[in-house]
Amino acid sequence: MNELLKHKNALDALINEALSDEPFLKAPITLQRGVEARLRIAALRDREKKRFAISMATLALLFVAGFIAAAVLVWFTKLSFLYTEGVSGGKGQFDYYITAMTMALASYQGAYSLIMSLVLAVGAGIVALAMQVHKFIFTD
Amino acid sequence: MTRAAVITAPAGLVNDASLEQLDDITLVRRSQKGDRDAFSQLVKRHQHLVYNVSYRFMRDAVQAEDMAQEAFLKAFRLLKGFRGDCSFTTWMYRVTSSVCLTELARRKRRGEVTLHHEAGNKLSAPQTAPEETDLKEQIRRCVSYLSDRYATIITLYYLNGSSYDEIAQVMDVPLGTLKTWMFRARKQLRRIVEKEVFSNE
Repeated sequence: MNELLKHKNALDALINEALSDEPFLKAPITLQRGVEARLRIAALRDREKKRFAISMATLALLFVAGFIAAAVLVWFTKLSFLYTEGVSGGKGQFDYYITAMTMALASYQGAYSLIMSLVLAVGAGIVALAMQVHKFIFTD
Repeated sequence: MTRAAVITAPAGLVNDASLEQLDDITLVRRSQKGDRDAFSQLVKRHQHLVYNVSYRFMRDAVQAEDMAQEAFLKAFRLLKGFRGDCSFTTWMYRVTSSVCLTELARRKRRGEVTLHHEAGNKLSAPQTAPEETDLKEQIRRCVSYLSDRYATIITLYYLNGSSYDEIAQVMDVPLGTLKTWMFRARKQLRRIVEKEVFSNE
């Protein structure tokens, strides 16, 4: 029993000595540089992710704004008429479009929701443009 | 080299004197706002400690450096969640231990650890120089055979003589639990050393 206890104590002392005596190492000089380099890469990756998200959001916004603007214009100016009736040989589509717009806006008596939606569509276009400009400023 | 001598040795990578004056918590707050220079200062200040924790888990200089870098990157990512309940050093111990243990577990799953240990104990032993097969070094390697939490507490206890209170804080367990774990860890380590070191002699 005593022998066993002695052996156990000796082993404990040996383990204790081995672990306590382990030298405190100096970190390699490349460690900090490595961390800084990897942080830079991580930051670039994050920025790229953000840039990509902004691009995709811009595209989606442009698509929706364009779609809404087109739908409103077709509905308001009755451009669907062109599809069903065709266009006179003497007048082109552009003339018809300008005339239709002028007449529609001049005779407009209702609420200004249509005008507001047009303004919103143009605003969305401007926002999208601004986001694109922002994106290019931050492009390396 | 002693721990104090290593920590006070000039690394000289970040020369911003104003940052050197700031305490850890201020640097952490600045890092949380995205100040990478402040974080670099924290890295400079804690690199030796983190490297030593990593080394004691990995037992290899290259892997230890890699794990230390990984620990700092993880710390930077998680820094927003650091509320200052404990010291930054304690928190870094936790992050580093977690990174190393995750890597060791990944290797164990892939069978890399078994191969490494077999190579270390059997294949390479007769060819290595006497100083490499030093008894103390063999005993130190036995720590990695312990279960994760036991390896962590033994490593932290012997790294810089951390108090039980500090280790309990790192492990996020009550002091009584830590003492029980410590007792079991020593017992387990004794058995491993007997089996791995003395049965081979």
